[in-house]
Amino acid sequence: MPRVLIVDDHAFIRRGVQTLLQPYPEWEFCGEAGSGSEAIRMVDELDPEIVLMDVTMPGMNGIEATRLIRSTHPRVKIILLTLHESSEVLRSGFRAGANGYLLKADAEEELMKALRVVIGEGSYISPKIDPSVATNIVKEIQSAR
Amino acid sequence: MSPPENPLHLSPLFNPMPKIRFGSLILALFLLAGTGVIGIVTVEHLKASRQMALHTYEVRGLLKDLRSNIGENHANFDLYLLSGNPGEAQDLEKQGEEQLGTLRELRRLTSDNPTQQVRLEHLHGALEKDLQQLRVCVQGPSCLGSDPSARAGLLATIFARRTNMSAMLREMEDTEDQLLQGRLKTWNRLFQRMVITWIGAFILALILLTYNFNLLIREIERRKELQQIEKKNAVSYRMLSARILELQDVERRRIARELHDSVGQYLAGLKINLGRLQRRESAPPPQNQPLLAESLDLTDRAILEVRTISHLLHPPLLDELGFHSAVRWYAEGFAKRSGVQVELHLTEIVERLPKEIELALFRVLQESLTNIHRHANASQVDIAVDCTDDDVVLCVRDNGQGIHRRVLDRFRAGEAGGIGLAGMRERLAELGGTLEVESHPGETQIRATLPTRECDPKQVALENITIPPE
Repeated sequence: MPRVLIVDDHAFIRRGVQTLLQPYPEWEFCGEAGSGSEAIRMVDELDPEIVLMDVTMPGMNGIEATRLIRSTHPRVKIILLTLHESSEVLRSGFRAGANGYLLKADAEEELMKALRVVIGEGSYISPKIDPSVATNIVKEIQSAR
Repeated sequence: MSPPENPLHLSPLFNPMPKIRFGSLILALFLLAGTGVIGIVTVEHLKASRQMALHTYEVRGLLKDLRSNIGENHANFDLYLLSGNPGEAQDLEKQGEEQLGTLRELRRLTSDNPTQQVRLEHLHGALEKDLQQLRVCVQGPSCLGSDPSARAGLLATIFARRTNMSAMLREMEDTEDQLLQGRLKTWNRLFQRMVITWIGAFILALILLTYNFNLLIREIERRKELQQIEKKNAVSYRMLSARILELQDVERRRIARELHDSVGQYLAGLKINLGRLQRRESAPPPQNQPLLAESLDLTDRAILEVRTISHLLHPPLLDELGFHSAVRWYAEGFAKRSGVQVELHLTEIVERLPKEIELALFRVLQESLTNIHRHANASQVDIAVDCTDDDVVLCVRDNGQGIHRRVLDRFRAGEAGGIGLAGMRERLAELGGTLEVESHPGETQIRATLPTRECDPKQVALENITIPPE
C-alpha cells in the first residue's frame, strides 16, 4: 500500500487533501509537514512512496525540498501541488526531480489520477497547463536526465 | 540626486535685469540723440561765429586797402604839388572817388557798429575835403601859387587832416582787431564746448552701452541656465514618470502574488472541503445538494476571478514565455471582456526580447486596450507587432470615435503625465523608444517603437489571428 506524505504550510490544505485520500483505502496517509525542511525530516523518518508537495512555503520552498529529497531518496515520487499555472514553476519543479504537477483547485477531481500515473512511473501534468508547453518541458527534462 | 532648483527663483518674470537694461539703453540712446541736437546747434553757432570772423577779416582788409590808398594818394598829391602836372591831378581825383567807394562799402559792412559808423563819417568828411582841396588846386592857382605863406597854410591843413585820418583809421583797425579776437575766442570756446560735449556724451554712451551689453550677456547666460534647468527638470520628470511606472509594476506584481498565494490558497482549500462534503456518505441531505453544488460553482468562479485579476495585474506568461504569448493571451481576454473583435498580426519573434522591452510593450498594449474599452466605442482592434533591423514596433489601431482633441493636444504638448499614455511615452523614451498617437473620428493608432537588436526580421514568421468577441 503506497504511503503518502502531505507537505503544505496551510493546515486546512493538508487536512483537505488528507480527507480526499480517505475514501481510497489503497492509499495510506502516513504523515504531514508544514515546511520544506520538515518534509525532508519526515521523508527520512517515514520513507513514503509519494510526497504531495506545495511549492510556495516560508523558509525552504517546495522546489528546493524536492531537489534535496530526490537526491537522497531517488525512489520517492513527488507531485507538486500548487496554485501556480506557471510553466516556469513546472519547469523548475521537474528539473528539481518532481514527477507530477497538480493544481490545488483541481485536486479534488484529479488527485487520484495523478497518484496513479506517478506511482506507475509516469509523469503527470495538470491539463490546465498548455499541452505544447508541458510536452516541451517533459522532453527537455527527459533529455537532460 | 539633489533636488532641482526651483525655477521660479530664476524666472525672467522676477528678474529686474531687463528693466535696468532697457532703462540704460534708453538713456544711452537719449544721450546720443541729445548730443546730436547739441552738436547741430553748436555747429550752427560755429558757422555764425565763423561768418562774423570772416566779416571782420573783410572789414580789416578794406581798412588796410583804404589806408594804403590814402597813403599813396597823399604821396601823389605831394608830387603834384611839387610838379604841378595836371595829368597827375586827374589820377588823384580818380583815386579819391575810389576811396569814397571803399568807404561806402565799409559803411555798409559796419552798419551794426555805431562807433565805426561815426568814424567812417569823419573819414568820409576828411576825404571829401581832400578831394575838394584837390579840385580847388587843379582849378585855381591857390595851391601852386608863389605865395609861400598860403602854401604853407595849405600844407599844414593837409598834414593835420592826414594825421587825423591816419589816427582814425588806426582806431578803426584796432576796434576791428579787438572784434576779431573776441569772435575768434567765441569760436574757440564753442568748438571746445562741442568737442567736450561730444567726447563726454560719447564716453557716457559707451559706458552705458557696455553696461547694457554686460547685462545682455548676463541675461543670455541666465536664460541658458534656465534652459539647462528646464532640461534637467524634464529629465527628472521623465525619470520620475518612469520610476512611477516601475513602482507600479512592482506593486502590481506584489498584489498579483498576494492574491494568488493567499486568497487563492483559501479558495483552493474551500473547494477541496466542499468537494469532500459533496461526496461523503454523511453528506448533507439531498435537498441541500443544489446549494452545495452552487457553492462549489461559486468557489470555482472565485478561483478563476482571482487568477484572472492576478494575471491581469501581472501576466505570468510575459515572464515565462515572452511578449508574443502574453499578447495572444491578453488579446483573447480583451475580446471576451469587451466584445470587441481583435485582429492579431504578429511576427513570431524567435529570441526573447529584453525583459524591460517586453514589459514596456506589454504595458502600452494594456493601456491602449483599456482606453479602447473605456472610451473608444470601437468594434474592431488591430494589433500588429513588427520587427525591423533595429526596432520592434507595436501598433494598436481601433475604429472607434477617436481621442478628444483637447486630450490629444495635451499629450502632444507633453503636458499630460503620470501613468497614462504620456507616462508610457516617458517610459519608452527611457528605453530610447518613441510613442506616437494619431487619432481622428473612425480611427486611432498608437505606435510604440523600441530599439532592439534581438528582433531579427529575417528570422520571423508572420502569424495572423482573428479573435471574435464572445
